[in-house]
Amino acid sequence: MLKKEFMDTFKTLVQCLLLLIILPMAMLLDWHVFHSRWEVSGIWQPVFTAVVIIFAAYAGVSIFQSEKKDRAFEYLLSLPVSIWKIAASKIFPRLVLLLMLIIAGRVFSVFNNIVVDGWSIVILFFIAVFVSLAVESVINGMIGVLLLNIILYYTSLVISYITMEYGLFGSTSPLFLFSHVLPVVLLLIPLAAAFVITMKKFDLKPLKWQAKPYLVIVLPTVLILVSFILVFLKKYLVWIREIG
Amino acid sequence: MLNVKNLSFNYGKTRIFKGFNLDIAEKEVTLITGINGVGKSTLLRLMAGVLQPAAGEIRFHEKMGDDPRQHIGFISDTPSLYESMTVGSAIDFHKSVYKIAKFDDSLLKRTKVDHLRKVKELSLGQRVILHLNLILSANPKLLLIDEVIHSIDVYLRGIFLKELIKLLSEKEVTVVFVNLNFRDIENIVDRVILLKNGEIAVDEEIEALKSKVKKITSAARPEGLPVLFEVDFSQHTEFFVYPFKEEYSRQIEGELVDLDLTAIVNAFIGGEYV
Repeated sequence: MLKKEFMDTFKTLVQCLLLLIILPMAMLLDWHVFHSRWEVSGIWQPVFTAVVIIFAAYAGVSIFQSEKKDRAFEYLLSLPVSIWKIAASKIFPRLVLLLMLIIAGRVFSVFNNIVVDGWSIVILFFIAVFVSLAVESVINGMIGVLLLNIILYYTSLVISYITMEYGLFGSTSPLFLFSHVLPVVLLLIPLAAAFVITMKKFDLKPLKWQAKPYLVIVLPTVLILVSFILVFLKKYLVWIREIG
Repeated sequence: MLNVKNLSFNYGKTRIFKGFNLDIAEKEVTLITGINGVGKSTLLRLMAGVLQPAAGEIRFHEKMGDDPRQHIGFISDTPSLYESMTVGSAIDFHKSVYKIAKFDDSLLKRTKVDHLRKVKELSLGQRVILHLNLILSANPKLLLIDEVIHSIDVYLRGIFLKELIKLLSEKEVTVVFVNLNFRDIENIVDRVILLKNGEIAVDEEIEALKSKVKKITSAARPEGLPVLFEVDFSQHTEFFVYPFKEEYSRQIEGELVDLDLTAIVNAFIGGEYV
């Protein structure tokens, strides 16, 4: 099973790496059309970052894609393999290849900004994995993952603003990490709980009938986070303008 | 071999089973039948572990081990395999999961299934034979076969049944069929269960069932007999009686006919549609 999942994940990785073809095409475009003298490193970093992000989201959301595409859920569930072993055999190869990409990104100094780094990409991957059971299609899944990451990002910004504006702790304080870790925890715990509860009773019934934990646990959490962002958004934007 | 206890299952808001009970003995060949949508395939899937009951449990004999699926061979009405795999990869995958050292693919060779072809390129019959070969390679103690026999051609059906009969004669296998076509399997079935409204309406040994269901061909309806179903013809009517008792023979006016399993089940199912 692990061999099959590694092969499937490798195929997904190759498909995502094909996006790197943008790089020579962009250079050709610049030479012949724009003449802006783009540097390879200037294009390489954002393109590679985008590829890694797309791979993380796609690999996470599509962990059961081969079963959906091949109509093999019934066969998979009839095998003498626990649902947790199935989940582990799907997550492990994807995580390994993702970590290899992240290490390559670090070696080539691709992740140069604080928004996108190795940790945030791993978090994005796990959000995608936990969302995978709640969505019927990969496209819907990736849209959901993108929206959740935007909510995560802005929740983190708003908490940072609150901690600094109200003097809870300064930007150099180790506790400042709290403003980045807390939103991750607030989002990942309900997502993971919904995933585990759904997986525990996972069977051949249509996914929409099995995804109730997501409605009961994740949706209220997301609504609370969005409400939190909206309440402080105006003050945050004013604050950004003042310090800008 | 297995014991279904107080089983309840729903598809959304549609109740399929509530408080359902069933015992299947070791080495028994059981046929489960009934009208479409009564829950035959669902019951088989619950036994195979691909569906989880809402309540109740399915207990297996201790020789089935901690995970009974290790010893269950299940073929659904729509064969489910990884379609984008080649036949060879599908075999390797199955071998690795069941830890099978040696795989006997003589069945595949007889049906000319090429190991390099993708599963999705095979015909339905070839997929069924592939799936059968895979499940037999794991030496199952319990076989669950769902309505797949009559969807394949005569030649492949013959091969399928031959392998099944060989398995029944050589090994201690319990078989549960779901089928609507019985001519092919009548000689190997021990017990017939008819499901109705999520419950067992009929549960008989096959020979007992054949003695309890008779057809009376007559112009007039037989008085006082439990008529299950009737078919009108211009000159006469056929009355299917269940349960038939020997003393009824004296009071009938018309021809008394013994029935094969197909006609018996047709009578039960026909009675539900009237």
